[in-house]
Amino acid sequence: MSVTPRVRQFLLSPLVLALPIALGAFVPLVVLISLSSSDVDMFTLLVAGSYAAGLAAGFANSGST
Amino acid sequence: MLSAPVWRGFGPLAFFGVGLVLGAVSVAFIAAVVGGIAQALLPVTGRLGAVAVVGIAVLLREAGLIRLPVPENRRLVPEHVQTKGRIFGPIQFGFEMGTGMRTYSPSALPHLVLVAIVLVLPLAGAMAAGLGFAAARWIMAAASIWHSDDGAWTRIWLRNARLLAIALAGGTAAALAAASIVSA
Repeated sequence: MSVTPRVRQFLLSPLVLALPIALGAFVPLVVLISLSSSDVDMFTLLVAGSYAAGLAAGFANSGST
Repeated sequence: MLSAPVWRGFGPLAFFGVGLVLGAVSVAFIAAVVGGIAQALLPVTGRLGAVAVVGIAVLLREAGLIRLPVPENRRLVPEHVQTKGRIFGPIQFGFEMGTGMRTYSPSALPHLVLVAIVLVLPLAGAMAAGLGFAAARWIMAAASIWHSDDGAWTRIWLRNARLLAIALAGGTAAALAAASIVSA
């Protein structure tokens, strides 16, 4: 299945890539707030939150290439 | 530099990714080791408070409400890394980009993550943050190369820079808040 250049450029555009990452970075905090501590594995939450923070921070530096 | 022909193809991009991971994880590991000492000596409330204060300042900076200079190496990664071949050139370029300390830093968010690693996050969190940083820089580089040859990706980024900065700052702060609360 081939993707037209216009579709490819849309899917790879900064907004389409960065905004879901920014929104996704809220997920660990939402999970932490909405679930009780017995329902969630704290180590997984730590790793997910840290990874999401690094991901969003790395994207924010994209203007430097 | 990423638009140069030497970066075309998946091979150089893969080696670039290896360099990114090595650079980002190295910095995260060193910060975590230093942080282990700081975290042993300072009370948790003080450390969380310090991260919160830095976080608020960074959020205000990213929103354009205050001017806050951040430490950065005001230069591009030297082009001579291209002469090191299709394996070691991309690896060195990736390593220098991955450290976040060898080139410009338009955002203060990596600095915020580094402060959190030193003051709050344990080693596992530091490694995860480093891997996330490397992944983002790889995705960004690959996307800009595969998007088009004319620099349009960067122009779109710059046109929406404020929106992207605010969204990514909010996401970074929320993710760090979750990781910090869990770590405390």
